[in-house]
Amino acid sequence: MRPFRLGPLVVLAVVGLVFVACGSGAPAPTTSGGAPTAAAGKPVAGGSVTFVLENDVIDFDPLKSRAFVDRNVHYQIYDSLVRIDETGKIIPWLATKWDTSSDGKTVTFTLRDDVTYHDGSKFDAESVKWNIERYTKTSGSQRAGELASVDTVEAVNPTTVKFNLKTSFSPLIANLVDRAGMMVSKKAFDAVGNPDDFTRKAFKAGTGPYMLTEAVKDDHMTLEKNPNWWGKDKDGNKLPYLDKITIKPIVNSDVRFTNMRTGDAQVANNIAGKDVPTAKSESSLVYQEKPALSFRSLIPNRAATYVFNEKRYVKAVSMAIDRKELLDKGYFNIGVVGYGTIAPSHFAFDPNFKPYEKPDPDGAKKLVQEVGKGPLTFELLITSGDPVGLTLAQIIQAQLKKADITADIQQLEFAKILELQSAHTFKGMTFVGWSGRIDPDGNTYDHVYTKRPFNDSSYSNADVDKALDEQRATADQEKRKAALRKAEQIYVVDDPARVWLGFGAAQLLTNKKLNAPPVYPDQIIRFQYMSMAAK
Amino acid sequence: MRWYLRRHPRLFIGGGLVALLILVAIFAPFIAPYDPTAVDVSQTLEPPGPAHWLGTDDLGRDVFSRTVYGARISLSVGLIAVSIGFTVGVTIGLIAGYLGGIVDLLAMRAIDALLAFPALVLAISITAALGPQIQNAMIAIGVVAVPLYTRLTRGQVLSVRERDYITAARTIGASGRRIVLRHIFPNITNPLVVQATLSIAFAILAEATLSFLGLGAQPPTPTWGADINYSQRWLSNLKWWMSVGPGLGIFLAVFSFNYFGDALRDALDPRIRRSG
Amino acid sequence: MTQYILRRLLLMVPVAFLVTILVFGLIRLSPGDPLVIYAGEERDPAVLEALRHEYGLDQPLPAQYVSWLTHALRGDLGRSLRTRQPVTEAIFERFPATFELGLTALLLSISVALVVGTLSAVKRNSPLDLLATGFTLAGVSLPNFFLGLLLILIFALAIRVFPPGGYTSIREDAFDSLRHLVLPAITLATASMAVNMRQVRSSLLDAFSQEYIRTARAKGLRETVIIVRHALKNALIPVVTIIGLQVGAIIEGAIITEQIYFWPGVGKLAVDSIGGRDYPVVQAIVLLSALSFMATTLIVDVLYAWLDPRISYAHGASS
Repeated sequence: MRPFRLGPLVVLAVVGLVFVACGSGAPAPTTSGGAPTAAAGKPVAGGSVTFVLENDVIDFDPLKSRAFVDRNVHYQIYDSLVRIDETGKIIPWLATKWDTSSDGKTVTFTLRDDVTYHDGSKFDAESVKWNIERYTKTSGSQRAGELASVDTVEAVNPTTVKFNLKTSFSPLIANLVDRAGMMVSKKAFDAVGNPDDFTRKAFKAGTGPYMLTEAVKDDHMTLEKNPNWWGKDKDGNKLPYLDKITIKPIVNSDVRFTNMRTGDAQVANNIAGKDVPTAKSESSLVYQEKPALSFRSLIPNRAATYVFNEKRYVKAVSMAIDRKELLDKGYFNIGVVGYGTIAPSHFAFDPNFKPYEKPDPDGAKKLVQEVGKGPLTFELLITSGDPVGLTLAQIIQAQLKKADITADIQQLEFAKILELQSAHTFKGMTFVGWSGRIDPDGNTYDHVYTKRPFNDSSYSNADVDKALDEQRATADQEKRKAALRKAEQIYVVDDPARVWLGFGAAQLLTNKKLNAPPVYPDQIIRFQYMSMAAK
Repeated sequence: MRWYLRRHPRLFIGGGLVALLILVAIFAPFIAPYDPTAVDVSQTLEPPGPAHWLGTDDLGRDVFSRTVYGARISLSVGLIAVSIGFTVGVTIGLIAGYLGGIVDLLAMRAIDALLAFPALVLAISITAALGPQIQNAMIAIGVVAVPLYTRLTRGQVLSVRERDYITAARTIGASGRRIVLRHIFPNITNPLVVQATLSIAFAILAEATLSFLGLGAQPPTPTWGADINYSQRWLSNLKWWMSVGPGLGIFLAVFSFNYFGDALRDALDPRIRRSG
Repeated sequence: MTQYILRRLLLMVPVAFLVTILVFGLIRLSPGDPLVIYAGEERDPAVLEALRHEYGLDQPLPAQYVSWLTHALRGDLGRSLRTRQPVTEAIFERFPATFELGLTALLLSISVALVVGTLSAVKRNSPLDLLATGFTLAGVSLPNFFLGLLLILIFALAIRVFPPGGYTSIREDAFDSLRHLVLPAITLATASMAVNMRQVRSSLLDAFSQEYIRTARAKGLRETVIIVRHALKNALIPVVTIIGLQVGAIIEGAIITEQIYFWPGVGKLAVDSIGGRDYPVVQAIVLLSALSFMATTLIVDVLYAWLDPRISYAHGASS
């Protein structure tokens, strides 16, 4: 045992702070596993940690998974064809390189040859083919939409696989970062048989740095080190370092935070805003934060016969809201102010796009008067029994009052609000968030394109549709950026689809006994880089 | 009258508490120093002090004022819910008890089904089905209270039904309804009144529980249960006053009705001879 | 007696049947589509339709009810709409937690009530008695969720003696399990403890004034013998009834206590499932609790008759 040294930890803390401050400038990804340079001396192998997660995982099968929280576990037990580094840039993973044909309709991946599944079966092109076909062809597959552009998959040779697409689709690679690109062992799947049972008991079915060995509903999940994982750190040491991760789902953020303070848990990635100052000042904890890919918004019902069919009303609300005050008092300064769907870590982000930088209640008043139908009154729906939502709604209500806009707060059961949203019959506005996707397309297309599944505001603008289709069809980053920004200008300012309030924050809270990896914009913890601090 | 009160001092105390509660509810605007719904973002989370006796909540609203106004919701739900339960329950009990036979059999099976259904789950389900609003909470709690009144009434009716004066009334041709209303009903009022008072206590607790679960009155109306729910997350930051205010409110209200109901029971029941 | 028991068991059937219709109607009447609620972040309409068909939710309601009933009679309570876990498995997984909590609370409640209630009756109007009587009234007037929050505030947050919530199985770590059990058990036991205490006290006082006690005293028997051998036995009769009712109250109270302490029991599952419209789970839980409630009532009534030879059900007295 080495004597405890303060130095490396201070360096680590400073490095962490630097990451938070710049949000970029991470070291270039290395060849194996993209391990970032952790500064705290030689990492120690071994050790177990307890991770408190904000909810239980319902689906261990990526095919059936619907909830963001599931990904926290999926990323540890499954590898995807590609992944991201901590700046959000796509890096090689199970695929070492990929080429897209000039017409964009063929993507060829070269695969690693040193990967085996937890159950011993080999990972190769045939396995990729089986996985993608399962995702696209199974009835009820939640990944079908993300892979809709895929026509056929060919296993050319054990390390080369070719995707033949129906049309050119540039966000495909980004989709393969997440669940749609996760590789599951056919042997393990067939062994369980019933898909309803596999999704609850997918033990040792991936290639990831950890193996799922135990899962008791609402109690805990056990992840054990995969001794044969292919990833290595920058010194060539085998990853992961930790032997075991025990994941405890705890829905209440107070209890999670208390567990962190008492040391019963050592890792958490969702801390209530009100507790962050305590977390920062607690000497046993290390807190990291960075703008995330998630956004916060108010959705107006813009269908015909509803009050927000009039676009000037949506704009007026957008102008009257004080996003900074809302962030400060409602979100406790966790996250950043934002105006659209393109998040700070997206390649198409424009830091100079600040259409509603200062709240303008007078301008809003004028706009409403221009419409000429009297003062604006609408229903603001929030879920009953949700204290955070209620606080936000009441702050907004007070802000809108300054512009003579009346927001009547209505509390309804969550089920009822969803029903109204899906039927597009809610009368005013409701709060909606989105956990965020790596490619700006994933934050935008299904939300503002005509008749898409998340377009609850019934928004339809032909120019926006055209621009969004354009950016999907081309692989040219610059052309995509231009098209995305052109669309954003329309759906945020000229003909608003929603009132976007800002982006969330990715958080990581760890016990200082650990060398923590940096926090990633998707908020998912890269446990393979985590190790016990040298004593 | 004074002799009566001297023999049953608890009746006086209990009655006084209940009356006080009702007065607070009615005169809330005069007792509460602030508007319970006034949001003031600059004064959030103030601990109790001379300006705000029970401090302020996370939107800057005065907790004491909200607690005082909360009495209105709790009392109105308590009274109306019990009225619903009482009216429906007693009616069914009278009919089933007097008519007997197949009517009684069917009615009692339905009542058994209501009783076997876990009460809180029943209340939550009804509120979910109808929507989280104060009227629906009243209906839900009323429905939960029905079986108690039905059984009580029916039991009394059964025991009274075969008595001589009833047989006499029937012999001279009095109609069923007249017999029930004129002869049976007055004899069972005592236990019913006691039960009603205790039921109000239960109803206030039930309303608090429902609004604690988010299934009661809507914001920004102050209600004790919902206020406790919304302030629960601040307990870990040791900001206790937002929960304690409404909690004390519930406790005092329920205690008053329980105490009064107990005193009523002792005063009205001739068999009580023992403890003080 | 056997005839009575059989008759009661037979009557349970139509009542259970009525309960299932009631819960089915209520939960289906509630607005909201479980598929959309549980869809989370995936809302492909084609997928939703496929799932709706797979779960049989596109059938007309009466057909769905009949299908559920026929499966239930065979012991198949369906699969959760949220997790696809078989409902029976889901309930059994959570049952130990609720059972641990409920049993501990029941034992705590009965033992404290017996001891304090007896002392209170024996030393009537002493300071102990007055304190106990005060507690009796206060105990039922304090909402259990508020008591729970107060206990958490004082003993888990201000002075960190106990954890603020959560559950550890006894099989995993007995000491830690007990640590997590203390506050929830006290919260749950308090209300019923108050009721039981009052009942023990009043039954004993009633018994004390009876003839046979005076005879025993005249015979010169020691006070303790009188209390234990004669008074207590007879006083137990109404106490048994009350305890029977309190089992029901504890099950009810468990629902809220589990919410506050994030206790992964059946009560929490029920509340969460109603909110999410997880039909099979709600229907199963309500049916099972109704059946156990009726069974408990029957057991208590039988015990009642057995304890008091003066009571007989031979004349077909109905409930």
